[in-house]
Amino acid sequence: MSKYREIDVKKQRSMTFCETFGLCIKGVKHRMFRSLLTLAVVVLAVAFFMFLLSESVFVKNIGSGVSKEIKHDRRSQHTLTRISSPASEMVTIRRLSAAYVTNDERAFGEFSSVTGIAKDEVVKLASGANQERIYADWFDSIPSGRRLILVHNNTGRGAIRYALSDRDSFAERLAPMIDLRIPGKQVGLMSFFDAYSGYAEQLTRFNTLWNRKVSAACKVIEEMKGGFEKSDAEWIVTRSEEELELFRSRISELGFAFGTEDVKLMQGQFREALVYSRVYAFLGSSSLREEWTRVFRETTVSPIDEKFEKLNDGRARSLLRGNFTDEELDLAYEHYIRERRLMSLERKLSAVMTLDDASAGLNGRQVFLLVISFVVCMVGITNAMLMSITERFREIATMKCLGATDGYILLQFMMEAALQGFCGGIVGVVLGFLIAFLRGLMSYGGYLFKYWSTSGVLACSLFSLIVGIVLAVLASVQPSWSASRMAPMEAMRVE
Amino acid sequence: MVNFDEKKYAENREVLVAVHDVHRVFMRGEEEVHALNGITLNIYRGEYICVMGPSGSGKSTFFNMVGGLDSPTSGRVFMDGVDMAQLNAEELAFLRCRKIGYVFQTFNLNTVMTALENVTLPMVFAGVPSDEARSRGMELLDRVGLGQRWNHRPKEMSGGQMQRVAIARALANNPSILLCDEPTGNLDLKTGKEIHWLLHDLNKKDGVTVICATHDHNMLSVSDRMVWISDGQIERIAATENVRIEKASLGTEDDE
Repeated sequence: MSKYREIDVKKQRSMTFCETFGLCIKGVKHRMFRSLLTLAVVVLAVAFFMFLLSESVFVKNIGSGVSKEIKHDRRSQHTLTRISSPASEMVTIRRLSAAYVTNDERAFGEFSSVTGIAKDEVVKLASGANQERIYADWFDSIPSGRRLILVHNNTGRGAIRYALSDRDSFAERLAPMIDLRIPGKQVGLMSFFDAYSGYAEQLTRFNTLWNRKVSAACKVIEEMKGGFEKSDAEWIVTRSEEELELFRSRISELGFAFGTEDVKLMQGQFREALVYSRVYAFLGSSSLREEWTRVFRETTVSPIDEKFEKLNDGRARSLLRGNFTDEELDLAYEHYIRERRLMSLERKLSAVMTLDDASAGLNGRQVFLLVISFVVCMVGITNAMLMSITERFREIATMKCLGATDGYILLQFMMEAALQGFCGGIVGVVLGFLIAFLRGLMSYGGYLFKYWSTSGVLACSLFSLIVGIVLAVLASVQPSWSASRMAPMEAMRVE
Repeated sequence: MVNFDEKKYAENREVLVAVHDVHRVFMRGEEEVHALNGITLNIYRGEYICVMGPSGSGKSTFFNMVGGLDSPTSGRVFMDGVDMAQLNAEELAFLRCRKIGYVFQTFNLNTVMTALENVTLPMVFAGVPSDEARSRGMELLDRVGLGQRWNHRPKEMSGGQMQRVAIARALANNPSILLCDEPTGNLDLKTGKEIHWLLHDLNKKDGVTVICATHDHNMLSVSDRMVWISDGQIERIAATENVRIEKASLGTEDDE
């Protein structure tokens, strides 16, 4: 420093990116907690986003889990119904449509082997059935006034298959509905009409063939039951293994998908259901009433549900021990608890989503709220940044006097915003997750952990964090730009 | 220019900054404001110039021209033979970083950084490796007498100390010229004097070229030359030894 040294402007190396970044961090480190406003805005927006996202992940996981459990519980009943009761056309349509939606190979195989219709024909039929089902569901979902108009115009859900033979007149009748802006599935339906002319006949044929096999199966059951007086379920529960195997093979011969494990499951589930209904009936019987009220010192007769709650109580056990074994009581109690939990969960979940809809995400209202919150967040950040730039005009101008380029100033402010977005984002993610977690715990209890997905939550967190950073950076583009354009002579200004 | 013989003065001296017939016109609404009206001035290497003038005289505009913060409407400003009007924004930033050191009336230190960090900031912009920057920063702080306080933030320092840090920062990249805009304007008399003598020392012992705008009479005594600006023109240039007589005749009390 003692001697003046010549510096060649062009030959000097300039700042590396790392140095720039380090300098920015140094600046932001101290300033972070001064711009609490920006941080708070980011935190709120990200927390809201994280809350919605993770809640939808919870609902989705629990929803699919619960619907699987419910399906499993009812499987044997469904199997028996499928085998032993004749299907109406609507039931057939729903079955075909369900198989088509989930692309259920096993179901298609069964349809084909039972009816003797080739498998690709069945798949084609199922695609038609699915279209009809969509229209029927839509029809059922619209307000009754509009439904009446459709019925009046002979375009209601029942009219579809009859319209297949005369697609044009159906389309003509449907046209005023489209003009009246009654939204619907008309377009899909029309293409269905065009693509599949023999649908109605095919469906009727399928149904007839199916029901023919069903009556054959009924005959088999009748024959095997012989003189057995009670219900089919009770008959199955009381069968020995060999008899069950015989029953299984005779039903399978007719083409129904009815495997060994199906039969086993059927016996177990029917047994549980029978025990449950017996306990249920006994708890409701008048013979128990007096003793029960005496033992529990109740003034009024409590409903059966409340009695079930006390089934594990020693006093209740001693009352029932004469009629049921302990094992049976345990079975009935567990069945009751599981059933009740699943039902209440299904009620809660179906308020938020359709259980069968695997693609459940954010609904329209949530998206609207999100967009609004993002816009507010952007405006808030932009405003806070503009304020901070106005306050820091002297610092910015001084930096420029000391040799900072426009690009550096721009970069610094963008990075500051990104860092604020990052820090605010992390706080927001934690906050949003906590809220969603507590709410989930309150609504779904242990099922939250049963269908827990760490990867889903992590993906949500990462996504929310990125959204926070992107929001902050986007919002800071304009303020940073105006900061970078600030004239260095501002530094000379004296107030 | 009564008391000043430029030719004689220029002997054995090298021109560092040449300001040639510079005009600067601002638009204030519809009205044209002529801040500078044809200023021509040579600044020689190693000298200490004081620029004086009432406010609104164009003094600040002149400073901005020399400091590469603004470009003239017409005329030229050469810094080490480089025409500053020809440079683009990036080249100007290079020039400001390496050729010019700024000292402001309001110090303008970065309040969140320590003294040392403030001093090394221009070196970071210049791409000096951090170790070298730090040792040079400490050297500079020692030079201005604040070596012990390198880790203090501006909040913990007095005005005089802050201005010393600012001077150290201005010298960080060995600038050709030190531009001081009213460096004692926000200081009391005593610390102001200390700053003068620091600048004087730097000028005489270390050969730093200083150009200084001031109203402060104490500043005059340490300078080599004085320039009066008024109405955007140079009213008068005088060597300090000649002025002293004048000052006495004006009856100013100056006991440096």
